[in-house]
Amino acid sequence: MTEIISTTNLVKNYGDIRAVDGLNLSIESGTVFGFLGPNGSGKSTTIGMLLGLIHPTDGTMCLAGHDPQVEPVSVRSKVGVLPENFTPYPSLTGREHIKYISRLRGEEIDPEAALSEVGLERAQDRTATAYSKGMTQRLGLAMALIGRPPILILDEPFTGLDPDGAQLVRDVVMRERSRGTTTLFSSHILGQVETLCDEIGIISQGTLVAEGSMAGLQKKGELLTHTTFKIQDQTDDAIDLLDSLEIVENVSNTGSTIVVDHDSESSHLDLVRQLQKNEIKITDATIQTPTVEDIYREFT
Amino acid sequence: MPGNWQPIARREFRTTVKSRFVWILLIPIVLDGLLNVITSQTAIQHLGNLRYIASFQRGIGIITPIACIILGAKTVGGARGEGYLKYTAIQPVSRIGLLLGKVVGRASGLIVPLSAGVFLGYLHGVVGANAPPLLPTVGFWLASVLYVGTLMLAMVGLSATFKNALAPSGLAFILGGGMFLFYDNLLPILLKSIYGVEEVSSGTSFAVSSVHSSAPLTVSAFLTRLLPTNAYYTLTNWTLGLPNTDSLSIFVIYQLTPQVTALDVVLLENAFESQPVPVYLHPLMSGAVLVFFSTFVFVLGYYTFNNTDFNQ
Repeated sequence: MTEIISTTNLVKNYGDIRAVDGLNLSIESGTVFGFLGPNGSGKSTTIGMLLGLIHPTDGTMCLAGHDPQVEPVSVRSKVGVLPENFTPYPSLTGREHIKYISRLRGEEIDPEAALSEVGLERAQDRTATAYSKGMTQRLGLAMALIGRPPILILDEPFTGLDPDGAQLVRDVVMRERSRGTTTLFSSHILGQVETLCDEIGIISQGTLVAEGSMAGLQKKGELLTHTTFKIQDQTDDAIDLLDSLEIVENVSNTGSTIVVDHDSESSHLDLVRQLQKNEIKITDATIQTPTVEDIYREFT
Repeated sequence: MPGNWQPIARREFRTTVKSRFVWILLIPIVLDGLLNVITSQTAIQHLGNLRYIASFQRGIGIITPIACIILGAKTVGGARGEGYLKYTAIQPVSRIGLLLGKVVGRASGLIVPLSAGVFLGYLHGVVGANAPPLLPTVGFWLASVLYVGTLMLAMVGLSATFKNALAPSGLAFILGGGMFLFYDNLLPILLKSIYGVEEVSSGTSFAVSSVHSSAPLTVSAFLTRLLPTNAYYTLTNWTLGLPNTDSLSIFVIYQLTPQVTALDVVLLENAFESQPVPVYLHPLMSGAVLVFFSTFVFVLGYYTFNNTDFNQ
C-alpha cells in the first residue's frame, strides 16, 4: 500500500500557543485511520491544515500527491469531508444540497440515489435546516460521498446520531474501505473507533504520541490481554503451568476460574495449546483485549 | 483560473433574487423614477423621451450603495462563523473563486430588480409618449450594471477583510455615507487650502459672486469624479446624451435652462470653451474609476482572506 496522507514536522502556532507541535503523520491508502485526542489537542487544526483552510507555521503535508498549501483545490477535489458540527445551507432542501455540492465538485449525481444511501430519500424535499441533528449528519455524510473521493475525512461523525445512524456511518465507512477509500476520522466515541479503525493516531498537546494498529499500540503501551479459563479438574496444575510460561505476566485464581494476564491477543492461542498439550481440559475460555479507551488513556 | 465558482454564483443569485429586501429597495427607485420625470421644455429638448429613463438615475445612484453594503457585508465577514461558508471552502473551489462567485451572484441578483425598474421606466415612456431610444436606454442600463457590479465587488472585498459583518457594513456606511454627504463640501475646503482662493462672479441676472479655490478645473473635476456616485452620474449622463458633468441629470437640465445657473454644476465642454476636455475627464474614465476603486478594495480583501486561517 502507498502513503496517501502524510505530514512532516507540521507546526501551527496561534500567537504564543502551539496548537500543533511537529506532527508526523503517515496514513496508507485504503486504511481507516482513527484520529484520537482530547479536546484542544490539535485534531481539528490538523484537519484544517490538511484541507488548506489553515496555514501551517512550519512543516510540510501531502494528500494524494498534492500539497494543500500549493494546490488546495486539487487536494479538496480528492477529499470528501464531513466537518464537525456540519451546518446545512439556509433554505436549501436535502436534494438541493446534493445538487449544489455535485456542481461544485463537477459531478453528475442523482440526488435521490445519494440521499437513499443515507436513508434520507423521504426527506429530500424538506428544507435541511429543519432536519434533526442525526438527519443533518446523514446529509453531511451523503455530501461527503459525492463523486466517491479517494479520501474521506469525517470529523466527529457520530455526534448526534442514534444507534441506527451510527450503524449507518459504520456501514458506509466499511463499504468505502472495501472500495479502497482511505478514511480519516476523529471521534470521542472510542467504541466506534475500535470497531472501525485499522490504524489509530493519538494526538496530545499537538504531538502525535502514538500511531499504529491496535495490536501494535497494545504492545507499545505494554497493555495486557486478560484471558479467563474455566478448567474441569486440574486447576492447580493449570495455574502452575500458566505461571511458568514466558508470555504470561500474572495468573490469578478466582475460585472456579483462572485469569491470565498476558502480552497480546494472539498469545492466548499459545496458552490454550500449552494447556491441551498437558491434557488439562478447558471448559470455557474468554478473552478480554485492551480497548481503544485503554490505549487512549495510556498515551494521553 | 478561479476554480469552479459558477455554482456559488448561481446559488447567491437565487438567494438574492428571492430576498424580499432587494424588492423592497426597488420601491423608492421606481416611485422616484415614475413620479419625478422632468417635464420642462429644456428636458424635452435635451433628453426627449430619455427623460423617462433619466428619472431613475437618482434612485439607482443612492439606493444601490445601500443595497450593496447590506448584501455584501454578510457574504464573508458575517458568514465566517456559519458552518456553511466553511463547508463551501472545503469543496474544490479556490478562495478567489469563492469570493468571485459571491460577487457575481449577489450583483446579478441585485441587477434583476434594478433592470425591472428601468424596464418600468421604459414602459412608462411608451405609454406616456413614445418609446425612449433603445440604444441610450441600454447604455444607461449597462452603466447601472457596472455600478452595481463594482460596488458589490468592493463590498465583498471589504467583507472578506473582516471577521464579522458589522465592521465592513459600519465602515462602508460611515465612510461611504460620509463621503456621499460631505465630499462635495470637504473637497473645496481641501482645494482652497492647497491652491488658495479666488472670487468668481456668476453670469445670472443677479450679480452673485462666490469664493472658489484656485485649483485648476482639471484637478477639481477629476477629484469630484472619484466619488462612486458622481462617477455613476457622469457615466449615465454620457449615455443619456447630456453634457460631460458629474451632477445629477435633473440639475444638469436645470443648468441648461436659459437664464438659470445651477450651483456646483460644471459642464466641462463649456468650462473648457474652445480647448478639448482632457482624456482623463472623459465620461468613460468614470467607469474606469469605478472599476479601479472596487478592484483595489477587492484585492485588499482577497489578500486578507487568502492569508488568514479559516477558523479565525
